[in-house]
Formats: sequence, C-alpha cells, structure tokens
Amino acid sequence: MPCAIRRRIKEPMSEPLSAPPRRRLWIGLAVAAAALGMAAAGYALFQTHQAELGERLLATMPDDVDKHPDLVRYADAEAKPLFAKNCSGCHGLDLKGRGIGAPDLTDAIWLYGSGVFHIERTITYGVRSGQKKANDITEMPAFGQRGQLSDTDIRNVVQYLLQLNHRPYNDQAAFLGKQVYQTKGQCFDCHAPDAKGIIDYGAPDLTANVWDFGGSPQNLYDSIYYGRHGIMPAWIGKLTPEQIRALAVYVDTASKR
Amino acid sequence: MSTPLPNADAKPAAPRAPWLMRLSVGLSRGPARPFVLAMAAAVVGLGLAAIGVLHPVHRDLVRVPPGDVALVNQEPILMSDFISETEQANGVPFAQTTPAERAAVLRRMIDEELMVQRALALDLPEQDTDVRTALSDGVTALATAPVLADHPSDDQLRAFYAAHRANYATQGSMQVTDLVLHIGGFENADQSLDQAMADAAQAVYELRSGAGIDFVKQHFAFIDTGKVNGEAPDFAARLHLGPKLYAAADKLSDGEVSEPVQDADGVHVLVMQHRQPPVFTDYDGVRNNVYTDYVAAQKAQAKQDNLKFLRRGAQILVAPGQTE
Repeated sequence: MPCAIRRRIKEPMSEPLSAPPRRRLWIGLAVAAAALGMAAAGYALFQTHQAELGERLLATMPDDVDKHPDLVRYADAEAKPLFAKNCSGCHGLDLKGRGIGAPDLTDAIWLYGSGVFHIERTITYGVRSGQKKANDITEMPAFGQRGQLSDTDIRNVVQYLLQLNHRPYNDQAAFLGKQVYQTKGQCFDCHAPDAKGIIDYGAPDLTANVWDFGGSPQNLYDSIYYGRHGIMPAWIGKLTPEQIRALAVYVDTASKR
Repeated sequence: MSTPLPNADAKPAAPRAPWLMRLSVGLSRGPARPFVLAMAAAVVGLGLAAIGVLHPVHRDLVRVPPGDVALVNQEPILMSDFISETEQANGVPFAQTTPAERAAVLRRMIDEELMVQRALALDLPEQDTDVRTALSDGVTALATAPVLADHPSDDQLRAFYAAHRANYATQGSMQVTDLVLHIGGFENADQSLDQAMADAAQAVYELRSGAGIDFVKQHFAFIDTGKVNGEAPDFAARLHLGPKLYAAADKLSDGEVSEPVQDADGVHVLVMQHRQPPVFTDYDGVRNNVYTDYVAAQKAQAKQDNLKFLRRGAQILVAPGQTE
C-alpha cells in the first residue's frame, strides 16, 4: 500500500496540480482580477441604486418623503455625516442645540414651520443670512438697551413669562408684567395676545417653556433687555439640493422620534 | 543557377481556423479556459463599474432634473421656490392650490428667469446703475449679516455714544464776524506774516478793551470776510469758515474775541456776536438712536472689511496719473 500511495501521488491527478508554476500564477491573477471585477460591478450597481434613490428623493414632493421608508433611510444615511460636518457645531451631534441660540431640533417646535418643506427652506436660505429669501421678517428688539422698557418693566414681564409656563412666579409682578406685555411693550404684536407665537414672524411660543437662549429668569431678562438676532447661514451653493433635502428629512425625522 | 524545386513531400499547410472558432474552442476545452473566463468576468465587471462611476446620475438636460420645476435655457428653477411662491401668491398651502394657480405662478417665474437671462446677455450689471446697486447691496447684505448676530454690551453702546456725542445734540447756531489781514498775494499783501500777527494781537487787545469793530477795521486795515452772514446754524458756519476757524469760533461765547488764527489766506480775528451752543442729550435720552447708529456702524465696518478682503484678491490697474 505505501508504494501504491507514493506512486499515486507522483501521477498527474488534475490540471492545477500539474500546471507549471507560471501558469498557476496567471490563473491566480485571473481569479483575483475576476474578484476585483465582480466587486467593482457590485459597487457600480450599488452606486447606481444610490443615485436612483437620490433622484427619487428630490423628485418626491418634500412633505411626501416620509411616506417612502426607503427614501427616509437613504436620506438619514446621507445626511448624518453632512450634519456632523456642517450643522453639529451649533446644533450639536445629538441635534439638541447647544444653548447658544441654535434651537433643539428634536423637540418638534419650529419657529418657521414644521415638515420637510419648511425645514428645507430654512436650510437652503438660512435665517437672517442676508439672503433675500431667508427667514428674516423680524427680530427680537433690544427693549432695555433701546430704552423702550425700564428695568422694572422687564423684570415684571419675566415674572409673567414664568407664570405662563407654570413655573414659580411673583403674583403681583406677573400681573404688572402682563400689562406691559399687552400694552407698552407691544409683545403681543409678534408673540400673539395668547403668547403662543406667530410662525409668520418666527416669533416663538412663549408658553411652551422651550427657550433657544436659555430659560432661566436671567436668560429671559437678557433676551428682553438685549434683544435677540439669531442667524443661520444659507446653505444654497454650499450643499447640493439633494444634500439639503436629505438633511431636511433627517432633521424632520429626528423631531418626530 | 537553378531554382530549388518545391519539396514534393511537404504537406500543404492547413488553413487556420477563424479566431472566433479558436476562441470558442479554447474556452470550451483549452488549458487557458479558466484564465480567459476570469478575464472576461473582470472586463465585464470593470466595464459596469466604469459606467456606474462615470454616469451615476443621468445628466440629461433635455428633461427637468429632479428637485426642479422647470429648466429655462438649462437654468433650473427650484421646486422649493415654486412651492413657496405659489403659497405666498395664493395664501394657502401648496396642496390646496389649483392647477391654474400653479400654472400662473410657474409662468411668472419662467418669465422672470427669461428676463434675468436677457439682462445678463445685455450685460446690464455693467451698464445699469439700478442693477449694479442691487447687486452691490446684495453682497453687502450677505457680508454684514453675521456681524449682527451678537448684541452689543451697554459699555460698547456708551463708548459709541461718547465718541459720537455731537450726533445726539440739537443743532447750535452762531452770528460771528470774521476779520482778516491778508498776507502774500492778497489785497494788503505788503504785510508780512509777523507784522500781521502783531497787528492782529493788538487788534484783539483793542476789541477786548471795548473798541468797536469798525475802528479796528480802519485802524489795522482788517477786512470783514462776511463768511457768516446773520445767524447761521453750526453746520453752515462750519462749511463757510472751514474747520480751523470754526474750531476757534466754537469756543467763543457772546461778545468774546478769538486769539489771532493763522489760516491759508491770512491772519483772522473772530468776534462772536451771538452764540446758541448745541444742547447735548444724555445717553438715556437717546438710547434708541445710539443702538440704531451702532448697528449701522457695525454694518458699515463689515462692508469695509469685506471690501478689504475683495481688494486683497483683486487685480486692480489704475491709469497713469490717476489715483483712487
């Protein structure tokens, strides 16, 4: 038996084992090339699929995107690195804002309208960005610095705001603050008589206890005394329409979770 | 010499099979079969990859790209802008607008795009002052927007007020007589500067001692310039007297006489007939104006900074003999 085994090993069994080293090298290279080609083909197919999704994302009406889960998934995947690179500096990686005037994007409270369309408009043209199409109807005046309200007036209005938000407040000061709100301060003009805000102006709801510049009594005082002039840059020309749409979907989705 | 005869025993060469047949034979049973098949797969794969990479998205501009509502001479009109303008024009959400309402807005947007393209073709940014102003203002708005995000502190506003206090005062007025002894080329040009200064000093002494203006004019040959006729507001007096004489006049009260002032045209003596000084408003009285002016100054500064930046990257040639 041992002799038989030895003899058998010496016999040519098949092509690969008997092929000269040079030919085996070529075969190896060919197999590698085939693998590379198939990987490239797979990548190409993937790219084509992604491109089609991108086209569909743009072709779909903005507020209808959420009816297509595959588009939402695609947009989220596209937007996440874009958000990290371009938006997280102000809004934070968790989209919750950083207390510097950039709003929390997860709270479903929108100064300029909700939904993909309005968010996309804001990303495209910004807020007080200098673009003519930006959200720039008005701003919070510096009532204190301009001498339009006294220190006492402002402190009273702050108490009224605390009352509106069911936080501890001084009864008498809140009563006086309400007078200032409804008359001398003309706060009702932008924030509405019921203080629920007016989206057309970008004037926030003062009863939701959500504050872009901080909600402590001192923060509220500062907002009235110094005014606020939050800005957001316009991204048109810096990001593609598809990237902007993806970001709008990403943010909209995050606000609905 | 004889020509060698062909070898009668040699077999005639067999005709070569066509290359396609040889390839198919090689593919089916030749030793190179795995190699050829693998290479073919690689070629096909790379070809597909090339198509995918080079043409990831159809750039066919005979159709409207996704995300746009129209293409006007290859210039897209954003669907987002169309939706927004339709909503604004009709005052209802886009979904509630009628096809006719949408069509009207789209027609207007296409018309506008055509007009803009025509304006560019006519080179209006170079020729039309209104277009140039609009473009310039647009750039300024973009450049100045970021600087307005930070509100000023009270200290900054007070410092601005202090530096521009004159802007927050009522307009003063003055009635002043300006007497001059010309030197060097004027009517009484025989006077040297030293002589004129000495005469002016003497005239000041006489005026302060109660002498009349007519007496001084006659005695020292002063000329009344008449630069300020009657009661003139401060801005007019500044304009007529010039900065040096105005600065001297501004310090005088009713009936006071200035020291001799040497100016370009001679030595002047100013006699204040009546002075209504400006009334300065304190900071609290003009806070609103100070704030507005501060913001305007910030914008102006941002515009200048932007221009400085643009100039750094610009090639500007000025014709010989001209300066900017």
